[in-house]
Amino acid sequence: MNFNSAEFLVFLPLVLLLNAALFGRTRARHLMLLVASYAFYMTWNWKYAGLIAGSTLIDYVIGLKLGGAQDPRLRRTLLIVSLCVNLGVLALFKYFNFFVESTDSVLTLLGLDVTLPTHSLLLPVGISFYTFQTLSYTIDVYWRRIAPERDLGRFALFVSFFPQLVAGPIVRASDFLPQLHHAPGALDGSRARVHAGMSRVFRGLFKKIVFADLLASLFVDRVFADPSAHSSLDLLLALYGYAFQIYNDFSGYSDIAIGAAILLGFHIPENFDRPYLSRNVREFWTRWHISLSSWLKDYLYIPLGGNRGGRTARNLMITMGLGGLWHGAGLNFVLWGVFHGALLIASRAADRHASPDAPGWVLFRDRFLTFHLVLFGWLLFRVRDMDHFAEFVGAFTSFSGGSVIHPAAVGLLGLAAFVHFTPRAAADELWKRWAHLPEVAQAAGYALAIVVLCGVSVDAAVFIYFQF
Amino acid sequence: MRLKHFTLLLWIALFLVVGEVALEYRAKSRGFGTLLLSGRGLSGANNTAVTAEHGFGPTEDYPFRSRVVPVAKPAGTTRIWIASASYAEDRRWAASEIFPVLLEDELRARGHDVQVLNASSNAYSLATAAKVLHEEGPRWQPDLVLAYHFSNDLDELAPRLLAVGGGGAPNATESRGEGPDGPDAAANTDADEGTPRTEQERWITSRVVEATTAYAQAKNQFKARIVALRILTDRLPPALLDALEERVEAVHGEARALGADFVPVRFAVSDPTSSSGPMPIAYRNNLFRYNSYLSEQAWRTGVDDYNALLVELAARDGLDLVGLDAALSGNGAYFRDFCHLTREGHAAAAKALADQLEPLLAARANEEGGE
Repeated sequence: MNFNSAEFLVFLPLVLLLNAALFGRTRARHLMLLVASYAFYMTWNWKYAGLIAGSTLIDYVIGLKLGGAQDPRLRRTLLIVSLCVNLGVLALFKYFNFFVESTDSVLTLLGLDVTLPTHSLLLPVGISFYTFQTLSYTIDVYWRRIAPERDLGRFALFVSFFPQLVAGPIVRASDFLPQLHHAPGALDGSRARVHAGMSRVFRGLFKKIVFADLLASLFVDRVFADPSAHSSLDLLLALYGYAFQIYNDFSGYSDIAIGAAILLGFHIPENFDRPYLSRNVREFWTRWHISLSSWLKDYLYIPLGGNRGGRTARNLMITMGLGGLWHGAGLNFVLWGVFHGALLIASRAADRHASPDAPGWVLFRDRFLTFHLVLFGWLLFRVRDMDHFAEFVGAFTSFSGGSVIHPAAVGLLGLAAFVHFTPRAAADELWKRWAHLPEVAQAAGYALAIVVLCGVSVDAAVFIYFQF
Repeated sequence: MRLKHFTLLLWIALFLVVGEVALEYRAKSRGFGTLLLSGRGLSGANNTAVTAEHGFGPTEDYPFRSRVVPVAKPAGTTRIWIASASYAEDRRWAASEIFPVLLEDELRARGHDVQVLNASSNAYSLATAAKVLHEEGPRWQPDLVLAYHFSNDLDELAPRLLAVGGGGAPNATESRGEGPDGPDAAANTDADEGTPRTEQERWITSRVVEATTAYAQAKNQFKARIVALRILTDRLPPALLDALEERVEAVHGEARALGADFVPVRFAVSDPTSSSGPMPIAYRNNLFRYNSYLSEQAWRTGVDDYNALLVELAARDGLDLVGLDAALSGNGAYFRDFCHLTREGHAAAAKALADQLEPLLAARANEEGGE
């Protein structure tokens, strides 16, 4: 069930009404949300619900054991079991074929004609997200940052909470579990909260349907499908288009997830903060997929040693390389991660010479440069494989002119950029004015938006990050 | 949060319902059947629209939109199975006005003992036709299988074979309307690709999801305009013709398995490559409501490519080939959009088919007489 589907348009209000009807009956409400979350997931593939249930049960039990164990060796063993099980399942579904095929290629290069077996299992939707979520819980309990959750139902809801189950934001147990422990009534909201959640959901739908899907269908997908048939100008426009497509697709999903959570009385963390306004790549990673970058920092980069001991560069490369691999089992994703790792290293070096009082033109230059470095990274991210990358670069460096992209499609790209770069204060002011409109006027606006979004939703595409 | 905090949701629902009722009232006043205000119910006395006119299917026991006949085939009768889509099902017209039924009338008037089984349904493709023939064919024992398809296969195959949809696969089960000019147009909607459903199931699905006037209006207002802004492909990719060939062969295989003769039918369109000037805007909009990837030029040349493919296949496999293109294509009086027929078009199609099938029927009769 996509967030941008007719089914979700029925599902979400139904869950909201049940959630409200169960106000004050915390356990029943949690149980309803748990059932709704599993039902939501099972619309993708009911068989894989067992994977989430299994992962939940294992980490619940290991969490309890870790909470009671004092022996450091036992604690380490329990942690290793959790890591092995969670990462093992992830590796089996997501990386097994990639590693087997890579090994095959190496063996072929060495002159050995061996064909290793691969599997044809479908990648469970959201597995990368919920695996990282459960891992963070076990590691936090191991580090004694949080107490283990003793209630299986609450823990299961933390793992499977449907707004963020499929594509994040990756929620930490320390952020979410306390919200489940509030006494009935403590999460009471108001109309203002409903309005805030609703506007967030609609902003997300707008980003997804109007910007992401339309940019993709009007020209981005067509140009990327056959780069050598297009001019350099069109390739550049398609790359810009993809930058705004992926931003609006993913941040749109996050907006809907955050909005749905608000409507249900929960808070889940922000995932984006206008990333293309970053002055350097370090800042970019504090504004893009914030929940993943902070996860990688806290659970990988810092345990590797962080920026201590003169191993910053190595640690950054490992972290970003694995971060790239997290996105997909492909060489282009690894290279994308390594590219960002190299940019982060360069960015740290450049920071030493940066002046805090830089003039406006320096700020513009830095933002422009950072955006275009990130743009090059998106090319690595978007291509099917390295041959496709070479085809794109080859066609682009022909520096041919002319365009088959409709001016209106370029206008839409400009509008997406304008919305992204609009100062936050101006956007907030607009939303504040909207929030002050009478409820009836808002409802009329939302009803009209639903009809328009249904009409504009020409090819209801799944969210890009679902594949990760 | 308490229920009282969700008045915003209730207001939104109210606006949507009021808007829907208003649009349906408008549609009703213009003579269209609608979701809420018409008599097109699913049960009881109002069920006539689903079961069609008296004497014609589809009914519970007879899944074809043609004159109802018993399952048992009388001796000496030739059964003609028409595997097609909305072009031959065409709920715009009464069953007695569509070309499969008129074809039966025409052939009978010429002295041929035939029964036409119109196994056509909106959004069916060659892939669906093969499945339906596989499932229903053994029971109904057709002697001739006519396949009149093109646009639905094109729309199904194009997204995949053009390798578009990197940001998510395009929805393969896009809704498909019947025509450009009214809410009723979108009422007869899709079956999942390659998955035939019963008439009742299709009708229920279309009623709940697609027949909503506001939804249909929104789609009608936006889709064609958006597709017109896209980079569209001007020529069918070779892989698409290969896939079409496979699909035609699949129907041929099913017909052969039943012991029936397979007769592919060349496709007719309002604006073939030979016609000068652009397609009328209403036709083009309707084309873009169905097809999201191919330009008007690709559509025209695609029809030529497909018809040429049928000629090649017929020559290679020794099949009889008939066509509606020569008699109908390019004649504005015969088309109500880019490929669906007017009443006159249905009559002309029936006559053209009867003319071309008559020698085949005569040859069959001679063969049977010789045996």
